[in-house]
Amino acid sequence: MDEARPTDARRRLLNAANPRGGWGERAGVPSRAEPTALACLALAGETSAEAPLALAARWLAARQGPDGAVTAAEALPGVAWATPHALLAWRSLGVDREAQKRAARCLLARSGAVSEADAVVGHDQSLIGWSWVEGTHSWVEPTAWAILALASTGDRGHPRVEQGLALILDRSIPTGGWNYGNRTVFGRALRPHPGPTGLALLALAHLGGPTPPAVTKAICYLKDVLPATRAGGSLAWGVMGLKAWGAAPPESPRWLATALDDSDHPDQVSRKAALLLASAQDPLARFGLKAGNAPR
Amino acid sequence: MTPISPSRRRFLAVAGIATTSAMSAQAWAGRNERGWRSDVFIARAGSYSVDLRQPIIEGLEALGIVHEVVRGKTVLLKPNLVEPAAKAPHINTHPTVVLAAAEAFRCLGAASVLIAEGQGHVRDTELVLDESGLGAELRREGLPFVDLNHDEVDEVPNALRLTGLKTLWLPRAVRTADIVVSMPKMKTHHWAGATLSMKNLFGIMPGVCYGWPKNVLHREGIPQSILDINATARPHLAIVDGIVGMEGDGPIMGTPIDSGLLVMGTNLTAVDATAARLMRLDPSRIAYLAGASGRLGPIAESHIGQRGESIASLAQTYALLDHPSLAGLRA
Repeated sequence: MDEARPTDARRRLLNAANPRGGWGERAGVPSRAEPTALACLALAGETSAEAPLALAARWLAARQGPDGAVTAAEALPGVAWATPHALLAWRSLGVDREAQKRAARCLLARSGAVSEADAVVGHDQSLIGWSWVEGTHSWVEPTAWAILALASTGDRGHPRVEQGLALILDRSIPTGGWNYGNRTVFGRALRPHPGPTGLALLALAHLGGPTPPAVTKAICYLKDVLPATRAGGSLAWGVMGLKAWGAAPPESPRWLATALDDSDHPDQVSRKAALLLASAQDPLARFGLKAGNAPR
Repeated sequence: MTPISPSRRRFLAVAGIATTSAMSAQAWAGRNERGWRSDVFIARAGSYSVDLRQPIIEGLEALGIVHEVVRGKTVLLKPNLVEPAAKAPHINTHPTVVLAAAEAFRCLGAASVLIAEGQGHVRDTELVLDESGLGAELRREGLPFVDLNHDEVDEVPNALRLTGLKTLWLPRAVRTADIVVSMPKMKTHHWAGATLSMKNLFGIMPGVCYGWPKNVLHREGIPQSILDINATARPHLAIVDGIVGMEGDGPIMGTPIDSGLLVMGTNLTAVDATAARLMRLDPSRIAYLAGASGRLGPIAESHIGQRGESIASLAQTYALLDHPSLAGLRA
């Protein structure tokens, strides 16, 4: 990839940092936990970013409550789905070990609500993962983030992580891939989407043993759709999912570079951070994964 | 909390939209909608390739939304972009209808028109805009898009409290717009019966607060949530894309059905009751419309002034899923 592209994207991302710490969803709006954590993951190790990253880590720490939960924004008390994002950000920056431990304890204490069995819903509703909002059902993306965070801090063998991995496998779309977390409803297979598919593959890189068919199908799905995907976030998470399984096509750096070049989205922080992260030398290391970690 | 702007209050008065506070104590059942009356305009529109701006302007003017009402206002158009699917365009409000509405409001003197959505199924808004085809059109026309899932939010009292939620988080863009327009696709819905302009407002509820797919609202009950959101957000207008609708396993897995119409009105309950009749569904058997009757508007034909085309001339039977929960919805 032309090195000028990521350099320019990094500069724009740094310029979007808020002076009091953290990043908003776009330049000039108040900081939120998710874009802040993604920017930290993308910029970790950049010497030119040390000051804003330190501020960002402190901004995230200020959002952490006594129970370890990290709220999404100053103005959103009780919205804590970005707790694993913050944990991974602190870990990638090598800071706030105590905050990481509190966040991990919080994740292990929280769980998605179990719904009453409903025959029209095609997934196993007894499996417990993580929810977006306390008191609601478990879904794929928050479960994947929680698994990545917990596994990165040494809880890979915890039964909650095991069950979370089982939940993700159970929610795979019959034709391959994942969406937000409904595989079939009223007997119809729903559509997969590249972003959650990539994130699910990242989390499933913590599986041991032979490659499950759901993973093989998901890799085929992503290889089919990503060449035509221009949406930066979907593309970035899709490529990272493929990288976790050693399946990223040689053209994927070019896809990422093209998306980084897209001038229609100059200041969207989460998009840019995800693309930079996916373009990094070793994005898997930011999640505590090694290339080839996943079983073949 | 951001107050409702003075110009928005004026619009509410002009559009004849009643406040809900006086009605919030009424019981769920047995309400009286005799005090309600609202006009609904039905336009014939054979395809997305015909001029849609003209019938929309005609409808707006028939509803009293004329230059003096729109001039200088900020108009927020909220289409239904529930899920990206380039191969199933009938899921989402067609870009041509959105652009035609934007152009109509510009012609009527709007100071600004913005498009806003907080889609429920996919977090990547760029993907939704790309796959629906709307993103390229908005860039071409210079129309701004607001991602309601990630907008700044205000916590406001829940005006109806049929759910257990004391307050609702509403996006700043919705709170500050002078005219909020719900622009749904005319579709069946496998949980709610039909998804129209009232249900479309699930999409203004920020995912950052309610999750994806708006988990809190599903937990609290779909009909109850629809009513609470509509009573609290108080949208001003609906323009329903019924040119190609969706029947069967809506809102995302159903099949396209050519209906060739647009439905418009300032009272969303009345608009949705009319659209339900156009789908040959009985609005009084759709839970959220039954609940809205007398609280948020009228659903009885005798309380709705029909303008433009007649229901009889354009109604057609929308297939429903073969499931006991939907068996009683047919008119």
